[in-house]
Amino acid sequence: MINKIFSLFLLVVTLFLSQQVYSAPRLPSENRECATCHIMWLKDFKRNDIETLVPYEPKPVVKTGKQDVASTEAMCFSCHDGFVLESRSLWESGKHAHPVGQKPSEKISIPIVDGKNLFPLNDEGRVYCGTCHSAHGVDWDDKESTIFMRVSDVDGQLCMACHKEKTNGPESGSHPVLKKVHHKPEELVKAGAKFGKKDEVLCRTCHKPHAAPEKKLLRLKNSKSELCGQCHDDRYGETMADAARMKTHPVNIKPENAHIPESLLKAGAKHGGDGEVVCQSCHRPHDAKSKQGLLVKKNDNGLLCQSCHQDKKTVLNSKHDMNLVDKDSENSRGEKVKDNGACSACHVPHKGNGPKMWSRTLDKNIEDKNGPMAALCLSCHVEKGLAEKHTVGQFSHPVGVDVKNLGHKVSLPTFGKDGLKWTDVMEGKVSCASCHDPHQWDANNKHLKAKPGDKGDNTNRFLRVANGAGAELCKTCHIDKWNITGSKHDMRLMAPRSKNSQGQTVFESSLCGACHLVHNANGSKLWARSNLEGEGTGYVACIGCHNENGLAKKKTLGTHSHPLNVEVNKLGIKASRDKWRSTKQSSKDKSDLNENIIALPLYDKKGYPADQDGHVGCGTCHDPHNWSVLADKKNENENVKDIDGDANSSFLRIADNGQSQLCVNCHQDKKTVFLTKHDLTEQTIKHSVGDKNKSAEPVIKENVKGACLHCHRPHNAGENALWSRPLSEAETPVGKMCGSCHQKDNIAGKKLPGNHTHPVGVDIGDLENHKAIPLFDDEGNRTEYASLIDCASCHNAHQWDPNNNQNKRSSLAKEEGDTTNSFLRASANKNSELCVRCHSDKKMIVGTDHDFSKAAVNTLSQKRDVSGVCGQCHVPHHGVSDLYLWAQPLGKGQDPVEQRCRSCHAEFKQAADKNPEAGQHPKQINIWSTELRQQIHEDKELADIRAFDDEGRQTAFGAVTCASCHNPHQWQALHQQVNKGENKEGNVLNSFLRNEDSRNIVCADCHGQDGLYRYKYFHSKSTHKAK
Amino acid sequence: MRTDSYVLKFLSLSYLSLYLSVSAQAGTIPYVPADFLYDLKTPQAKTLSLPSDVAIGRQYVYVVDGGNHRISVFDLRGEFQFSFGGPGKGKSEFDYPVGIDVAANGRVYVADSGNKRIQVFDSKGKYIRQFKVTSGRYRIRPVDVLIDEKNKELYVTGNETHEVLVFSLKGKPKRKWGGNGVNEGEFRYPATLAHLKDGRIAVVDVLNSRVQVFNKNGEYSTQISGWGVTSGQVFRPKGIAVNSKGHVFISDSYLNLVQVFEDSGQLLHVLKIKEGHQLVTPVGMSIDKKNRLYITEMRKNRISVFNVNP
Repeated sequence: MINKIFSLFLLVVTLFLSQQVYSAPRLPSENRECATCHIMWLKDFKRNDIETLVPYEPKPVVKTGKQDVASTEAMCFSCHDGFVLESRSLWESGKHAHPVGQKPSEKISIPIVDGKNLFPLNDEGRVYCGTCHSAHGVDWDDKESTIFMRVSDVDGQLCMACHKEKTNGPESGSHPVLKKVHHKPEELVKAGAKFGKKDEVLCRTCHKPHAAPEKKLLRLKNSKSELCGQCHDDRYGETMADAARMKTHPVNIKPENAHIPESLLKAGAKHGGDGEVVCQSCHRPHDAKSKQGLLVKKNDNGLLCQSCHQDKKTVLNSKHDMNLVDKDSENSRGEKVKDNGACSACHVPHKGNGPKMWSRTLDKNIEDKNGPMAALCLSCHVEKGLAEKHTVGQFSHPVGVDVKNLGHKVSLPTFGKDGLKWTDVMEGKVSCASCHDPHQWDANNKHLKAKPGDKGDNTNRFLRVANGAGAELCKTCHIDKWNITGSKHDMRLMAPRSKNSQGQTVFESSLCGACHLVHNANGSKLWARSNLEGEGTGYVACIGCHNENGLAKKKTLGTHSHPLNVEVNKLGIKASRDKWRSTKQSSKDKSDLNENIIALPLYDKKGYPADQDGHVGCGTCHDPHNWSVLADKKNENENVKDIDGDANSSFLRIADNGQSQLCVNCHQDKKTVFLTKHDLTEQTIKHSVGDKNKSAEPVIKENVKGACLHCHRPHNAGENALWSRPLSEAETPVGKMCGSCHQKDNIAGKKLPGNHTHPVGVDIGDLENHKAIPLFDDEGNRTEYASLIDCASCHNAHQWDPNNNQNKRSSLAKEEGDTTNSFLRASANKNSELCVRCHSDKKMIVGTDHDFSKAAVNTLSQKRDVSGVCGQCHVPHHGVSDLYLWAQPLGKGQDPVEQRCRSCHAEFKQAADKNPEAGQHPKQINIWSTELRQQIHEDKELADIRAFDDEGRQTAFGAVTCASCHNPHQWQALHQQVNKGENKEGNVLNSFLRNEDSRNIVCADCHGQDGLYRYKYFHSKSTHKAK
Repeated sequence: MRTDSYVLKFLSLSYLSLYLSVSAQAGTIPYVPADFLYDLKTPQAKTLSLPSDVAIGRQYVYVVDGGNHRISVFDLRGEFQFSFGGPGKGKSEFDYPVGIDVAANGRVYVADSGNKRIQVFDSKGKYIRQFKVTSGRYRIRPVDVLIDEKNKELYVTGNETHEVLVFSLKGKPKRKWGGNGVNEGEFRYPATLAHLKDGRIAVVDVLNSRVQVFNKNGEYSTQISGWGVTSGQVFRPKGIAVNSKGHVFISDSYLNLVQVFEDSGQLLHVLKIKEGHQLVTPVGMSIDKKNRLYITEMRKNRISVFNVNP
């Protein structure tokens, strides 16, 4: 029985023990909830009979924990992993978090409340998660939203509770907090930045206590000042151009001449990963050394600036060291140079007034006119400025101009719009700082000092390159001017003792300084010699020497010289600075008129180069810096004074090359003379030249090349048209020139006008069409009001064929010219276009019976198709007589007029059937011409009757002859009627009669009503017989 | 009398055996070694960041790379193939996704937790559709997804409401069960889901430290494991996976281990990982047809593969 009871007991005990092992899950209880985190409180850890899945660790095994594993990161993470609460953003790998497991530094002061740290440390005095966080929560104000923090972080008070030293603002060398920001940068907001209730900057604006992407718990990368630039965007650039535009110290660029020294890095300065300057190269957001500006190092006397800009220290103890000039002078911020250092006199690192972080006031007018860089220098170098003794004057080296016009790279600095500096490029604008380095007094010795009052010269004055006798500085840019060396304009050779307007010899002023002054010059072209009166078009400077008393007195222009101050557009050229274009069109000449036109300099009235439609000046044809464009002509003689120039040298811009290339570059229309009978280059010519106003001194030149120069010369020429040949004895000015050759025993001795030739020197100003041909004044000039005929009225000496400028007649050709060429301005054949330009009233002869048939010839044996309609009766040269320049054999008649009519109206002549046997009016009877009678009968319309004198010329009172009643050029009065050479019998209404209806007009004034019968008597075979 | 002594001896021996066996079971942890095979390999530019779950398809292995807001895809040998997604709210973008599952047709379902939606992609990551996860009129954060191929349904665990929600595969809400609590059928932060061999649904109940089993309609069936620190108990259960034999693998992200149970709830063993590979925060898991267990180790940013052939 006892055994049964004992067995039963054992069974019960066994069942009880097994139940202990396979116990039901624990029901929730307060203990259970605590053990959600406080795992080590589980009693299972105290049991000896079971093995727990993790060891019992009542104390933290990590520095970051306190008490036990409940306060370890692993425990927190076991819920904050996204499966219970999503907090993975705070645990991401590679991110930065507020330090835990470390003892706070001495700078940290944890507030004490009720005798205890408000933010507890673990048992080892280290920061752990629970220092800031409490998993049990604390009493909160309802409005506060942060949970599980020991103190709410409204307006950053949580961070500032411990990190006091970082929150006292610039006074304690720390970035300001609780200061309202100008704007909330979008990128910073996106990165989770927190701001105060009134948009103040807080610690958590820049810093993120958990999962910060950057070191120092920064929300954004700051290796290249990206974080700083979020708020301070007015001084954050990524390039030099950005910095220039913002007028602030550059950041994010690798300095070329400046260098961040090791000592500054040790003081806490930073640079970008590749040595770039960044905000933190100068500034420290915390633990800064200076109250103002949060600087890494104090900038007293500009020491911080000089740390990096060692090369600029040369400004100290120079004339640009304001400590020497005026130490109490203030920059635009009111900072005195004696307090802030030499650099501050001109520069401030941020919010400058202009390029280069300028700290002085700029004149907007100067800035607009000369560019921003020049305005920097001119903030002092102006009247009433700090450097008023060193102004640049009215005429100074240009600034603000683009160097690309030089056509080559420039080794001196040039500047962009915002003051950005370039070197060794072909762009950018010239400025003061192109030639001057404002930080270094002497070009060759950077240690050389100079104080105000010290005299400078061309080796210092802050020049970048010393500008000695060889003008090395000028040459840097003006390489194209360097052919002047060794030429007749090299004053070192030609006039070494002559002085410029500042009293300097060429060796004192430099090669260029003999003629040019960089500042305070005398006029355009930066002229360094005395000014001459009068408006300059690029010649005032030249005749300063090239005058009878000047340095170049042997090379004067003479009284008659190529015109200056004239526009080339009158020659049919549209001229802009770099491109000239012909505006003339030639339908027959298919060549491109613009092909060979070279743009030459033109000038405005002040002598400055003109961009559009300027005027001719000396410099148009001459480049005073270049003796010859031909290589073989340069410096060919050691003694330059012995060299005499010619058309291929003489500082001409275009060599003649035997083709007058310089002349025809402008006078394109004159090119047509080449290879014509007026092109004398094929002949060896000896000719003399002389100026009318000078004593005759023949100068024989042989083998002058180029067609133009055989007749013209640009300087010291003859009277008209720059004539270079001896004038003939002709009566008219142009005739004298033509007669240079067209005279007996001369070049054109076989081409003489003859005894009976078209009148010249006649005033045709009253003629209706007098503008149809060139007319001249009595000096041979073609002017607006000229009215005299001359040879050149009908002849264009430069063009053989008026209708085809490619049609030439070589001077060696033996063919004779005719009425279609012969340098005529228009053809004279066929309908005599040239003649009717003036004699338009004679045009109506065409198609009448007086328009001779093709078979007819004149006294020059020319048929009508050669002579033209006019030429059958009249020829301009070699006529039978002066009267009418008659070209037919004279007939018999009682007066010269009738003799001419009888050339054809006679027996056996062309108009034999129109032969009034008794055509003469009684010779002793003289009449008044209509012109005279009209003076009496002013209100009457009188018939047109002409009177003629004994010489056959019209007169007011004279004899009646054929032409009294007949107009041989017009079949019918008032309008043209063509008979087509049909030789029809006319009547009283036509028949070349002057009046429209002669029935009651012819002879009626004297003979009354029977005048018609008189008429018939004279003209009808049947009614009268010859006496 | 002789009979009584025999009975006594028998009982004594039985008691002794029982006590010893029970003592032995209660006192020691039944470790079973698990052979580490390899980690899924990622190129440097595609390093995982706080991954949470893994799912295995026919051709690819899909990993929820939560910290990078994307899905990284590997072949069945563990070689990285491609990834898709990125941070954001738009199509094919994620906000700290958590769970994932792959359908038999290759489609990938992702619990885009931060965006409170499910996104669906094809096997190559091409976007197909998305739908909001709601419970009543509240939009809630999904934690895991589980596809029911047979019924064309999708099970989703909801974080804030502590529920299991059932949708059609196109996102139409169908039913739900659960709620915040400690009783049967209630949850405190339901996490991952898995099908048991018989089709029942196992739900990891994190802060209740247990796994609850339901039928497809949400009727409570049983519980696997419970709260504690001894073998067979769990502290912070996170991931769950079932092998071909129906054994249930449960990961514990604080205890850093994986335990294996029968679907009745009886502990089989605790996986013992060989030296040199310590599990760190194991969370989501998956088992392939070859009985290779893929374990997501969140703080280690890796997916480790073990041979767990029974």
